[in-house]
Amino acid sequence: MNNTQEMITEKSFDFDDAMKALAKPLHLLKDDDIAIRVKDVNLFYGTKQALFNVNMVIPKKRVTAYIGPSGCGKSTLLRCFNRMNDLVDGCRVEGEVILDGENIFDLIVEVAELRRKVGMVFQKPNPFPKSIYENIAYGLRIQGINNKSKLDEIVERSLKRAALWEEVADRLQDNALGLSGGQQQRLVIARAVAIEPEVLLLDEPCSALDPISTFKVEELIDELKVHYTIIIVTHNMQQAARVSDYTAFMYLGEMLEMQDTKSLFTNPKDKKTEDYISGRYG
Amino acid sequence: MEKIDFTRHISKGFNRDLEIIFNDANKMFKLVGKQYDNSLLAFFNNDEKLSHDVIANEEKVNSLECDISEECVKIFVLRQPVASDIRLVLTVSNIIKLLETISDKCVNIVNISHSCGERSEGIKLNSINKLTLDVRSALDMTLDAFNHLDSLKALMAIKICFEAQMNHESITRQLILDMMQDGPSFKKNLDMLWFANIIADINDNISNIGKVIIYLVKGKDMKHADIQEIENEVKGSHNH
Repeated sequence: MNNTQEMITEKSFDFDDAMKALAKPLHLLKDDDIAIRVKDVNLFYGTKQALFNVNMVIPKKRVTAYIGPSGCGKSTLLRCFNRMNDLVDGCRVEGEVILDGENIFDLIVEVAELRRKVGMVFQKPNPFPKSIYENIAYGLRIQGINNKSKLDEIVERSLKRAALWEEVADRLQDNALGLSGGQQQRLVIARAVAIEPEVLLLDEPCSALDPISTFKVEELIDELKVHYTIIIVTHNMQQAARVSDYTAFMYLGEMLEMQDTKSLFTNPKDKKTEDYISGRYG
Repeated sequence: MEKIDFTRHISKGFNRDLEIIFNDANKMFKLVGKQYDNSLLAFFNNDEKLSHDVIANEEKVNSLECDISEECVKIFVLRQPVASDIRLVLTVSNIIKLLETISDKCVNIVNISHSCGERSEGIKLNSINKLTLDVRSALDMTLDAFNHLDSLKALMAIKICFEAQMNHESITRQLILDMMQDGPSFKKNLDMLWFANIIADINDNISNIGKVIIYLVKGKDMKHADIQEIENEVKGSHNH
């Protein structure tokens, strides 16, 4: 093979890779492509109903974004996936959320184990008031990992995965609260991925960050989806369009439309979706 | 997409920006329609004044294209349009390029008429006459489709263009035959062939405008679809 042929072979377009990178239309997803199934979920805060008969699938190792006006139930739905709503007094959920073949609302499901499988990152970075190292090692120790070299290895891997390693490698014992907001948020993501969850829930992870930190977190989300199924709630439509493969539009507690992101942002089927994403009066 | 409503965005500036490009694209449609008419009259009647008008108006068309194009870029940067808005901006952006190309072709027609001189006056074959009229009606139809977001009218325009393309192929065959058989009329037949080819190019651009309008209305890219696929898309979703 001569040099030119080698160059052509090296640079040749890999059709399979390209197809994997594309988000399939929802109706073409197979069972293996689906991480979570949401079936007939209704949620009540006391007597007030916040979610109405939500049915949807969450594709595996893809980013799914929830968009919709304030109070439409995006975060409420997100918090169903790791049963954070259990902590709210008077909250009652009906329906099923199937993860790994079991309904996470079943009484036999251990919430601590569920939350290990389904990590969550909040709007405002919330590192522990401990060292950068300890922020990641803490959860691992609770899981029974005490071997120093094992902990070192996971801390490094998690920080690398969260694209933070190069910025903090030489100051792992510094207090995490001394990091910038963007770095703190990536540290929190590193903490979440350290325990190897299957699903990562991101509740407006960039709303408190400056544009540069936002782009870094968005870039990170793109890299993390190779390993995890990610669900992100965002008010920023451009962000949803940039980072997600699938987008669901929620309105008044109902999931009105879910499509692959490109289709939803260029050709939404529901008029309410169209009006919301294009900034028209409802 | 039902109809364009320039009053419902929360941002009045966004409404205004979209309305401007829509109205300017309309203006460009009409100007290019006039260019087409004038170039044909100039060609058939060897009319010097009309030829000059076509060449002078070409600058207006170019400048309008640049202005609208700049406005589209501004909308992308400032408004980050989505859904039907992004389709409208992309459609306008594509249509103005196609219209500008049609206007260029009209200038080519008057340029041929200069080189033909008196010869062009005799060119009025029935089939060529039909070709020019069909292309004109397809252009009108696309303007109507754009104004009313009517995918059926866009489909009709594409069908007219398809028929015109068939007609052009038979004209070409006939003219080549005439050139082989009738030596003295060779130059005149060659002029007719050039002319018919330019009209066919204009026809292709109008057909593409029709496809772009279907994208605007239906949200489906029809650039490389054949006429049957386009018809299925338009009529299929019309029945829903």
